[in-house]
Formats: sequence, structure tokens, C-alpha cells
Amino acid sequence: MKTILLALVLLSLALPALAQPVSDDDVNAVAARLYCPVCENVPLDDCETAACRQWKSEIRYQLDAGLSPKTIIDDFVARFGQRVVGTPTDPTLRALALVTPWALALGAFLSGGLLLRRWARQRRAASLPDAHDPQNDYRARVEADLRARR
Amino acid sequence: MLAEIGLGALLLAFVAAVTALLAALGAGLRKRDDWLRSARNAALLTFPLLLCSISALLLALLDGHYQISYVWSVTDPATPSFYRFTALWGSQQGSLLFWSLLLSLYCFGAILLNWREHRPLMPGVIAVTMATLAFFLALSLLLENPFERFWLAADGAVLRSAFIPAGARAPDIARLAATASGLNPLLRHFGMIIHPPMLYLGFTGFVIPFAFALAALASGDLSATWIRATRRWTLLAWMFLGLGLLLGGRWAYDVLGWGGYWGWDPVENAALLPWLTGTAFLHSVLIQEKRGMLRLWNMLLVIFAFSAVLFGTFATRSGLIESVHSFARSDIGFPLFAFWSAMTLVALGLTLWRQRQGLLRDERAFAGLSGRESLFVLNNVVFAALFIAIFWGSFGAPLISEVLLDAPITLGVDYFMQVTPPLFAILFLLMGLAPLAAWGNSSLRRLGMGLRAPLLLTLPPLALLALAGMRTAEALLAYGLVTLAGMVALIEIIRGARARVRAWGETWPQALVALFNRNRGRYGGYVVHLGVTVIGIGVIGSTLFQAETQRTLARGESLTLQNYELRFDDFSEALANDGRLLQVAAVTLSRDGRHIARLRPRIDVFPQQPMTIAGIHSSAENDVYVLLTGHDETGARATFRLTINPLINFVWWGGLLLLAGTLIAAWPQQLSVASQRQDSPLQELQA
Amino acid sequence: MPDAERMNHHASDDDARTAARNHPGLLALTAAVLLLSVFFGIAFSRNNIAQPEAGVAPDFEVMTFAGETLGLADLRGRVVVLNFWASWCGPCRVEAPVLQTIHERWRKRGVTVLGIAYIDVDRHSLAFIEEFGLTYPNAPDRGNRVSDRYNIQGVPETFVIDQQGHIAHFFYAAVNETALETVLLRLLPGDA
Repeated sequence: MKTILLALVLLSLALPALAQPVSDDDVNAVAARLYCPVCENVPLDDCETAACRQWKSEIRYQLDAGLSPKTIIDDFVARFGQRVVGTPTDPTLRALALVTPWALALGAFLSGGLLLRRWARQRRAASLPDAHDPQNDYRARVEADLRARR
Repeated sequence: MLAEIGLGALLLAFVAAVTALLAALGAGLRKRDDWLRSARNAALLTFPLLLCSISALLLALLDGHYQISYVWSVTDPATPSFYRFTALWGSQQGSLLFWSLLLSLYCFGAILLNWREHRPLMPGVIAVTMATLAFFLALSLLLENPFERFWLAADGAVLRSAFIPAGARAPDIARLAATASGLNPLLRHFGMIIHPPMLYLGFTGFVIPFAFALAALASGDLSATWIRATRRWTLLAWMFLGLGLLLGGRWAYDVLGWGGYWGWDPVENAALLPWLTGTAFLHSVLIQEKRGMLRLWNMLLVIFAFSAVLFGTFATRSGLIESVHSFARSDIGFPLFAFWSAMTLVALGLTLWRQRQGLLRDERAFAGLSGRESLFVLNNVVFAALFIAIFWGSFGAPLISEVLLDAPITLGVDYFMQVTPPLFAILFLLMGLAPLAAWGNSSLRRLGMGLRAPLLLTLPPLALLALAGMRTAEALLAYGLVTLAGMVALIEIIRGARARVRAWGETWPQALVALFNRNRGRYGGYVVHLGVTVIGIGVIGSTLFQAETQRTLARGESLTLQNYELRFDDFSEALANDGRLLQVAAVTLSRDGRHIARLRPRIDVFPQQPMTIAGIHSSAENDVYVLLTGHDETGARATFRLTINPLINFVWWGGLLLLAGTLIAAWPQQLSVASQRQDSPLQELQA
Repeated sequence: MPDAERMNHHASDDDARTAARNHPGLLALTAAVLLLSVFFGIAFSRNNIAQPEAGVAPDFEVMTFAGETLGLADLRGRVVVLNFWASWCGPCRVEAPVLQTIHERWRKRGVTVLGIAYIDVDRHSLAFIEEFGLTYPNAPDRGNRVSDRYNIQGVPETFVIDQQGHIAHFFYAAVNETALETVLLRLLPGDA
């Protein structure tokens, strides 16, 4: 009796899963994050070569087996290397890829800031009234504003 | 005969380029004006010679001279004449020659137009442009000769050579024609007649600013002279490059069958890099013109714009990276690499030398942190950051990790969508603020006051978008920034015209025409800003709100996406007269139950590869993009991929505005007086 | 690669003598470009290497589908026919029976046929092996390591490696029986 009940419960759990087979959209959602080496730099979901179709069928097979997208992607990486994902999953490579541009951009912003500060200092040192500026009275306010902001 | 004529003209062009280079160097070193005139004449001669050479190639293509191996490899007897024409740049050899032709066209124009005004810079300009031209012509002559022909040796072996080898004879023409390969099917698109020429015009155009920069460095005349000569050429090259990029996007959208126009592919990025550098230069050059500041930085921007062009050429044509856009692996990789590296380092060396002499120091001190200069400096910083991020993602990281860590990686759309959007957002914010700030000093209050009207005008479109369902925070922020930038540009134009209407009682149309006439640079620039705004709206809509689904349908079945329904009606096959097999699906598209269109997505099966051609229903609101991705043998069941791209057409419309604005800005000012009167009270009022 | 550091204009005062000072940002930038071009030179020359057609065959170790570990070095003294294939590749289907025949005919005479599955899904590889009844060792190429070492550009590609571990012959396309046997006969003349 218990076994029958258990089977019934399991069946009712499995039914929704059976009723909703893996759709092309589910497959494409995973494929969009993968890059097959046969068509370099084209996301897998947009690539229609024989190898890529096979990869997509493998994704479907694994989704059917109930694996999560993350597990599937990790499996592909383990089998074919880091080059098959849009951004590396390996922590070191991921950090190298994602932190470097931000660090360099930050450097650019800092340099720009330093330049502006140097310009401002030069100006203060020279403290020439600017002949071209029809709005000298504003300057005091700007500087007050800026001081207030600091 | 055509091959001999083409080859002869190519050879003569090379000789002329080298002669011009040597004479120009001599003229520069010895200060000999007669040598300079010889250099000019030789340099001018390269253009007609190359025109003659490329005409020979074109005639050979149109007339089917299959003994020429280039003709044999890109056309076959079934190729229609339209594609025979585009086959000129359909493969490495032809496109390289075409590239040289455009390069020499720019030299021709620059020498003729700037000869009188910039005579002291001419030795340098001629030397740099002709060195570049000679290099590319040498590649054509030695490594990728478009005039190589097939020959049959006495022992029956097939040879490829520009000249007839001893004892060889011409092969049978009919056999050659029967075996010819035909054009790569991906290149059979009407856009191919215009996309590559635009892109190449963009790329090669950056040689002129670069040449002027190097000439200025070499001669030591680093006053504003070289900048004046350079700005319009940069604008021209920048415009063509921008159009080339947009048309390339359109080509990808129509032909590559993935529902998008920009894939962050390394080759696309390689073409974007000089465009970004050019945009930064077009802004920061204003600081130098108006305030005499950022002189070193501007020099570097011009150098890096051309360096990025050469690098992109190397990356695309050498097989360094693989992409749908790149050429097959080729021997010209190493020479191109060496040339890129040498040109960049020589230019930087010259800059370093002149900088140590103090010739690149700023002339004027800074006037205030909230002035337009500060905003422009920020704008340049953001462009530099974008350049770095895109370069890193496309070339830096993949190559470093492969060479140093032995772990090849790919940086795809994920990466670029994480790194670039914040930077683009700051750019749009600056685009909204900078026109409101005055040169020199400005005040935050003035900025704030200027922002009131555009902010108010930004609200209605935002509300409209929110009503249309685009309600995420990032979307509203993005749309807000982009629309604000556009509104500021629009209001600046209206304010300028209103000032004229009030002051001089002109009618509005009169005032607008006069306004644009008086300050083409500024108001053309605002039209460009409007164009970029419109492109931005399209990009945000089609990126953030793209919806997609894929399903396999039996005939009569349908799939739904949002409120659209797609029904699979019929499937048929047909043979086109150029030998491809067309597999066409007929589908019906309806929206909220109302029929709106019948579309025919299809697969063109060429012997080399299949090509998926989308059926597109296009409207201002969106594109409904239907791809036939597969079908069973009988065509009873077929797989469709349905993509909805909201607001995508704004991208192309924005491109038209961009073109219009740049043309206004670059059009020569007839009255030089007009540009002298910028300090008039009215102009101050408009500022 | 532009770096905003170069914007650090040093013009800190109007003394002309200070003009001759070095600009750290500009120097750093020039150094960076120099470094970059050396680096790209190396990357490019590596990228441009074609498949090795002579010289010492790059060593590797693989785990076959049968679960046995196989290294190239262990096969010294035997002639190795190293074949790269994939189940999705058309010409590989033509080639598979040829390789099986060679394996049966030459195994006892000192030849090892070794198949490496390139960018292939294991399930499909196994189905392919079963379909053609391949009994010679086959292994998946984990992480593409072997394919990278041999710089292969596609499948099928086949390397014949002699008893001393040198590459004796390279087939760019599907092998045919006569051509492969000619090479093997040259390497193992006594067994004709």
C-alpha cells in the first residue's frame, strides 16, 4: 500500500514535468551563453553548423534529464575548456577579464580628475581675471558651490 | 590584355608613390621647393593610375576573364552583373586594391585642397600618405596580387603567376569558366554595394589627419594650423565610418539571420575603435581651437585613430581573429602587423620628442571647473575608458589569457553588456550637459537653469514609453538620459533661431537657415547629437525589450509571442536561376487576432553553405522578424524563430540624421568672414 | 591603447626649462604600446602556426572512452596513426571504416590507430564508434588540449607518427587506404 501511495505521489510530481517538455526557448537560453569553437565569436543559439546543432541537442538532452542550466554550462566548460562560455567561469580568468577594464577605466577617470585639479590650481595660482569671461561674478558662486559640495 | 594593363598601372602607381615619398622627404630635409612640386605631381598621379588599374579589374570581372585567378575565385558565369561589380571588394586581393584606391583619393583631395594654405606642412603630409600608400601597393604587388593569372605548364601543372612562366600557356577558357567558384553567398546582398566602400572611406580617411599630425610634429609647427586642416577631414572620415558601421549592422540584420545588428564581434569592435577615437577627437579639438588646451591629448587621439585603423586592418585581414566579417588567413598578416607597430611607435616617438621640447604645452590657463572644458575632458575620459574596455574584451583578454595562461577564452556579449552600458550612460549625460555649459567659466546654477526646459520636455516621451510597457528602472533611466541629450540639442537649435527671430524679425525658416549657415559646426553638431539620440532610443528598445521564441510547427499550427501570433501555412521549394535552392515557408502574422501580414522567411541553399533570410514586418513601433531555422524532409513541419525588436528602425533613421548633421558641419564655409565673427554679441547670446 | 594618464599635462608653471621634463604619462603610454606590439607579435606568430608536418610530435595523455589512460610517450617504438574526428563531420564517416581496416591489418605489425574526438559530445561519439564497430582506442579531447597542441583547423586531420615519436606524415583531409598504407610501408619496410 505504502509503495503504491509513494508511486502515486512520485507520479503526480513527475506529471507536470512530463506535460511540459523542454522547449526550444529553454535550449536557446542556455545556448546563448555558449560559444562553440567551430563558429568562433558566434553565440551557439545563432549558429547552425552540424557541430552546433549537436551541441544544442545535447543541451536539450541534459535539460530533459533535469539538469540546471548552470550544471550544463559547467559540464561544457569541463569538457571543452573556458573558451566555450561568453565570460569565463574560472574565478581567476573571470577576474582577469572583468576587473581589468574597470581598473583601467578607473585609472582614466582618476587621470582626468587629476588633470582638472591641476588646471584649477594653476588658475588659482595665476588668479588672473579672465578677460573673455563676461560672468566673473558667477565664479565666486561656483567656487562656493564646489566648496559646499566637498 | 586587361590583366597587363591593370598590373602595369598598379606598378606605375607604386613607382609614383615611392618617388613622391622620396622627393617629399628630400624637400622637407633640404627645403627645396622644386622637389616638393615633383613630390606633389607624383603623388597626384597615383590616383588616376590606380583608377585605371581598378577599372581594368572591374572590366575583367564584368566580362568574365576567368584566367585572372581573382575573377575566377569570386564570380562564375551565373553571377549577375550587380554582384560582379560588388565582387571587386568581395575578397582579399580586390578589396586591398580598392582600399589603396580610396587612400590615394584622399591624398589627391588633401593635396589639391590644402596645397596653398598649408604648404609648409606638405612635405610631411605627402611623405606620410605616400609611405602608407606605397606599403599597401607593395602588399598588392607582392603578396595579394589581384592580377595573377592561371597558366598551364608544359608538364600539365596549373600555375598561378602575374607573368607568363617560361614554357607555359593559357588554360582553356571554357574549363576555367566551368570551374569558377562564384561569390561567397553571404556577400550577395544589396548592402554590399555600399557598406564596404563606406567603411573603407571611413578607415582610409583617417590617414589625412594622421599625416598632418606627423607633418606638424616633424616640422615643429605645432600651432593651430594642423588642427585647422585636420578637422574637416576627420569629420568626413568619421561620417563614412559611422555610416559604414550602420550599414554593416543592417547587412548583419538582413543576412546573418540572428535578429540583431551588433554582435560585439571582434571585427565589428575593431571598426568601432577608430570611430570612438574620432568622436573623442572631434570634441576635444574644440577645446584646442577655442582655448588652446589639450594639445598633447589631441595629437595622441589623431595618432591612435589611425593606429586603430591599421590595427583593425591587421586583425581583420590576417586571420588573427575569426569572424563572419573577416577575410581568410593570409600572408599579409606580418607585414600589416609590422607596419601598424612601426607607424604607431614612430608617431609616439615624434610626440615624445616634441613634448620634451615643450612644443605641446597648453597656451591658456583653465577658467573654471564647471566650464565646458571640464565636461569635454570628462567626455574624453569616458571615450578612453570605452576604448580600453572594448579593446580589452576583443583583443587584450583573449590573447593574454591564451599566450600567458595557456587558457583560450571568449569574451562575448555578456562581457560587453556588463562593461559598456554604464559608460554609454555617462556619455549621454555629458551630451546633455555640455551644450548648456559655456566655454571658460560657467556656473552650476546656469547649468541648472538651462536644464529645466529639456527636463520638462523629457517627461512626456518617458511617460509614453512607460505606458507602452517599458517600465523597468534601467530602461527609464536609459531613455531619460538619451532623451534629455536630444532635447538639449533641439532646444539649443530653437533658442538660436528664436534669438534671430526676435532680434532681426526674421521668419522662423529664415532664422533656421541663417543659424545653420552662420555656425555650421555647432548646429550641425547638434543635429548629429539628435541623430545619436534617435539611434540610442532604437538601441535601448531593441536591446532591453527584445522578445524571442522558437518552436516547431506543423502546417496550420501557430505560435504566439506577446500579442502576436504566427501561423505556418505552407512550404515550397524552388530553384533560382543562379543555382541556389530556395526553401520558402509561407506564414501569416496577426496581432490581437487581426491579420497584419503574410511573410516568407526562407533558406537559400548555396553549394557552399545555407543562408537564412528572415521575413520581416517592419513598422515604427517594432520589427517582427521571422526566421525559418529548419524543416523536415516533406516540409510538413518547420521550426520558426520569432523575434520582436522594439523601436529598431530608430537606429536606421538616426543614421540619416547623423549623415545630415555631419554634412552640415563639414560643408565648407563660403565666407571666411562668418567664422571670424564668433564673438559678436548675438553669438554670445546663443552660447 | 589610449590611457587617460597621458592627459596629465605637466605645464605646471611657465618656466621654459621645465618644459624639457619627461612626461610620465606619455612615456608610460609609449612603453605600453611597445609592450603591446611585442605581445601581439608573439600571439600572432603562435596563432599562425600550421599543423606540424615534421619534427617531434607534441606529447599528450588522454583517457579513452574505454577508461584506459594512454600517452603518446608510452607508444614509442610503435607507429601511431593519430586521427582527429567528430561524429558531426561528414568525411569522418567515409574515413572510419578505412581506419578500422588499417587497425585490423596493421595492429600486430606495430601500428596503433588512435582516434581523438574533436568538439564532440560523448554520447554521439560513442554512437559513432558503435555504428562503425571501431575497435581501436578512441578518446574525447578534454579541454581541446590535444587539438590545440596539433593546431588542427578542422576534422578530419590525421598525423602519422613514427617509432621515434617524429611526425612522418600529415593528412589534411580524409585518409584513403592506399595513401595511408604507402606511408606505413615506408615506416615498417620489413613487414611488407
